[in-house]
Amino acid sequence: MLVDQQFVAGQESDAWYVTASLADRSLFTVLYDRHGAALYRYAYGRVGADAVDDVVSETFLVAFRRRHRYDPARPDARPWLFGILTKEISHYRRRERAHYRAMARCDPNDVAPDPAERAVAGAAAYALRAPLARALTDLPARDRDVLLLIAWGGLSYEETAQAIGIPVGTVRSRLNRARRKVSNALGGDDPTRTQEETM
Amino acid sequence: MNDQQMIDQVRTLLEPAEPPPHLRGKVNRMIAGSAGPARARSWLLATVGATATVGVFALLLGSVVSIDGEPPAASAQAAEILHRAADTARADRTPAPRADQFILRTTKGFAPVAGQGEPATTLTRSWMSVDGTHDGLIWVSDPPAGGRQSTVIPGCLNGRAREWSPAADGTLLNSTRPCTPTPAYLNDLPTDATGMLHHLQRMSGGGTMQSNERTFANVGGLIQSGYLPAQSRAALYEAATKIPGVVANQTMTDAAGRTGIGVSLAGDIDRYELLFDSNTYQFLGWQVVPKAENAGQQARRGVTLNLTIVDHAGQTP
Repeated sequence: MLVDQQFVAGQESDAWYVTASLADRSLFTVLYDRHGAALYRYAYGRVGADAVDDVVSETFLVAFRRRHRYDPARPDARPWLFGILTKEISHYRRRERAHYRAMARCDPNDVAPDPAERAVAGAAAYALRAPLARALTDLPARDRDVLLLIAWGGLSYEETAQAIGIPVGTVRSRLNRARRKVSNALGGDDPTRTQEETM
Repeated sequence: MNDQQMIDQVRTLLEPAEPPPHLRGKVNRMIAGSAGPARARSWLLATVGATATVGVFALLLGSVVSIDGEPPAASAQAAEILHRAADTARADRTPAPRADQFILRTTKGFAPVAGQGEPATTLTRSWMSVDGTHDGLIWVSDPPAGGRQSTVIPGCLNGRAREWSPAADGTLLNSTRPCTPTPAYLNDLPTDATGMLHHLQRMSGGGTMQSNERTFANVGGLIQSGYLPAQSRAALYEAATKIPGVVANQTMTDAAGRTGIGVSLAGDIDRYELLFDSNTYQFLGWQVVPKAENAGQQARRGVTLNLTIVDHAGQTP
């Protein structure tokens, strides 16, 4: 079945479905049924309601086209999908900036804020949230990706490393850097500093 | 602040959001059409506005239904068709398949070919193990270039199944991996309409944005996931009488050209159709077709032609 098939997600691993989808492409839908909601939630926070549909569907299309390169030794496809999504989000943002630049409206950095900030626009009244959101937008993109994949995507350090294709030590150091900046933005003094590196 | 405290705080910034029901169909259509020429990347920005509107509509629909309290059920005519189909299903005396048999599902897919009026067709046969422990098989009439025509789907016996080759080309190794069997004969489903309706709603993961579209789409999902015993099939059709928005179609033609009587539900982007024989009210097919206004783009369609019980994987009746 090509268009509408929905298998009730069985107990087989994601890797099984990725491989089986080489023969029957409709089996790939199981990956959407399993991970679509988590990817959507994450992407919604990153790009907002306007673009989330496209970013998520494009992620599954790219994943589908690369399925023959999936490593079947990884039973859980979530890190793989989040890795593709992260790239799609960064493509999207680049296109968005180029688009605004082409329209020559104003400084692209002003019109295309990272929606980590947009996500909290409604919550800006909370004294703590606004600085936190601002701290997030001020982070370099690669540090922000790591922090948000963990906080919003629910990935472990190892899964985040897998998703972005970096060593787990780099995940820790990026997170560390992010924490110092976030901590400063929230008031500087950090009484728990001695406990860092406990994770 | 340690890392975990920061992560917890950042987590509170994320607003809850759930994918709209139409997104699944969109993903499916993109996958189905992905064999064609690579799309230009710039389509993305152009469609941003349109999809945002759809999302808003989906939200509105969801809230209207819940405000009303008791939602109106399927139209009376649709309910009549579904009740007759349920009666037919209940009268089905086909004995339960043996554990070592297979459910053979035949589906036909239609894909538009650039520059041609006639779509390309593909026939797919899947033999699914009744108890999930025997090796199944998927056969396609026109595999993609370099693809296999037949692929063995390893059964799960004593908690182990054979592994795929790391080449990911569909070949099997002699080594095994842990697994849980996925039976194709679905004998643990509810046999009453209310229980079945709850089951259909639960299939979507029980999110807050439960929609009639999603629930009805799950009717098709269940039909295609295996073989339902007669009593569950009857319950399935009766559960559909309780889904608002389901309407009757006195004459319905499926993608394979078969005509019958049916019920359907129009979603945001697609229409979901359940087709029965107009004399016997036996199940004929299930299909999802783009609504008229979307028909121009990627009208790739597929239809379930047949569902039968056979003794061996690879055997055709």
